[in-house]
Amino acid sequence: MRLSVNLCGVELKNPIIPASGTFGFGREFSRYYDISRLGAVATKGITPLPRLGNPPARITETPSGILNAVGLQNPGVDAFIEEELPWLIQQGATVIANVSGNSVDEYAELAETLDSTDIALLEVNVSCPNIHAGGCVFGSDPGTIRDVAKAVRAATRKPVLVKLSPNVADIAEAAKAAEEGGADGVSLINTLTGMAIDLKTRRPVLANVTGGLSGPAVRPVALRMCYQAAQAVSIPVVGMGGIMTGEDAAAFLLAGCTAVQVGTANLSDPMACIRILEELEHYCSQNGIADVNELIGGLIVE
Amino acid sequence: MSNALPPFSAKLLSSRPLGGGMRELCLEVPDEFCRASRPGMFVHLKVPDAPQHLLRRPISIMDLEPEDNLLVLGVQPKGEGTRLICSLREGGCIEMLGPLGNGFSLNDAKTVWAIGGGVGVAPMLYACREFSKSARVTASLGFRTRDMIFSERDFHESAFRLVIATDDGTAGFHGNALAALSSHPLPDLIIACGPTPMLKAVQEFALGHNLHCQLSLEQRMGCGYGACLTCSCRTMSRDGEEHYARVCADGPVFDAGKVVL
Repeated sequence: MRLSVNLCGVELKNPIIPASGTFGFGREFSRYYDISRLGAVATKGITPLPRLGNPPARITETPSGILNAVGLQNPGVDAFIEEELPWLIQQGATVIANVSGNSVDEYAELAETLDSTDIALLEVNVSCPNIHAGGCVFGSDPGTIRDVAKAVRAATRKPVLVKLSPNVADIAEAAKAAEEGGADGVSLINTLTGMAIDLKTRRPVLANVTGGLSGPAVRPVALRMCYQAAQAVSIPVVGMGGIMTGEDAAAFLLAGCTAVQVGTANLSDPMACIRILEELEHYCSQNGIADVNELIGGLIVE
Repeated sequence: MSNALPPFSAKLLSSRPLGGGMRELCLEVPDEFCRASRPGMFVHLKVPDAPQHLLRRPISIMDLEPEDNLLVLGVQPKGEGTRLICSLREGGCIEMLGPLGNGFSLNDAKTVWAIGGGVGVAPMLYACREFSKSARVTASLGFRTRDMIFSERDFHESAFRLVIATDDGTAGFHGNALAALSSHPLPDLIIACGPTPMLKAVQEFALGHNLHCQLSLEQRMGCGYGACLTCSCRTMSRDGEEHYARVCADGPVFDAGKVVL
């Protein structure tokens, strides 16, 4: 059976990718399985300088979902290149570097810095809901999405994915803006902004007050947005949002996604990505699908 | 290198109330689990038959009997997830990840104070049992009131000396578990687990008296194995720089001199 897919010119062994922020830089998972079995690895969000992140509490469970506000804690791009990337490459991983900046210039600088490294793709996060300075403003305005995509495109030879926020009025417009700016693909959805309140203390559960909602609770919204984005653009779409099983992954492929990312499931089960990969393979074999590419965009709408 | 024990299904051998609303769960665990387990470590439990509860629940190891492959947990039913865990029937199975985290280190200490408060008393039992093999362990256990006391007899058996304290004076020393030790000779090492105000008091006392001290912390947790960076606590490096450490993977036991409470 053929599981490999071509994402923006990069051949992936299979369409299963752990999502940024749920997989660190892969080290913790390599204690459970060989991470080179994955289609690719999307790294923890990287910023120009190290970031401490938000104070705790940073996470809470909600019905069929989780809310998080980590605030982009990361060691900075230099430490990523020196310490994390060589290790990932040594493991045989295909690396998608997820980057976040506070200005168009910062995004371009990050892209330029990473251009000469062994990363396979760049994923530009214009949509982190948990930092006040940049992400939200960038992610919600098509004009800025276009500007960031354009600046990053000009700064690197690597394929560029723009990771979109669902916290927008029109996801198709956001996807089109990324395509017009020169993005090679879009990935979506990042988390939906949410909130939880502790009734005993009358305080927000998260120190950041609001957080990003993910997990099966958002899956129908994510699936709809991926479908709309795939309809709106001709570049590849990478889908994510509450994928817990191989069948969930298959649904996103049918909606038009070339590959999928698995996020929240990694927090419940360190083996989640491998299990989902095996389930997808099983689904294909049970349904007489010889090539996973047959699923991509295979949705029938009467 | 794949060397972590993957999630496994553990059979519930017995379940009984402990007092204070706590429940004692005895589970069957594999040899690899027993070999890797140390006092202060925890397990991450999936809420049984409830896929809507995505996150596991971190529960400290209360006791371990490796010869019988027996893991003992003390679980406080606090929210719906822990309530469902506590209502699991004997013979049923629960999916478990662990043992996780870094435990207490005895090093060369010959005398130890093991201070526990509330549900934080649970991991002290395992520590008492293990550390009593080569040290004199004084367990000081703090509870809100007499009815909340649990596992007193087990502590009697495993600790060199046992001190009970209650906030309302209904049993033992009237006051907290640290104050209850004020007339005792200072130990080589203090280990503690309990509510933050208690840990703060222990930290201040230990640093003030220049004593080795390890604190076990609690925080809202995601993955439990260091990937998601959500269960943070503030730490201070030697040069005075503040960082966020991961309670699950860098802790849950931290040196009292390094952690900012």
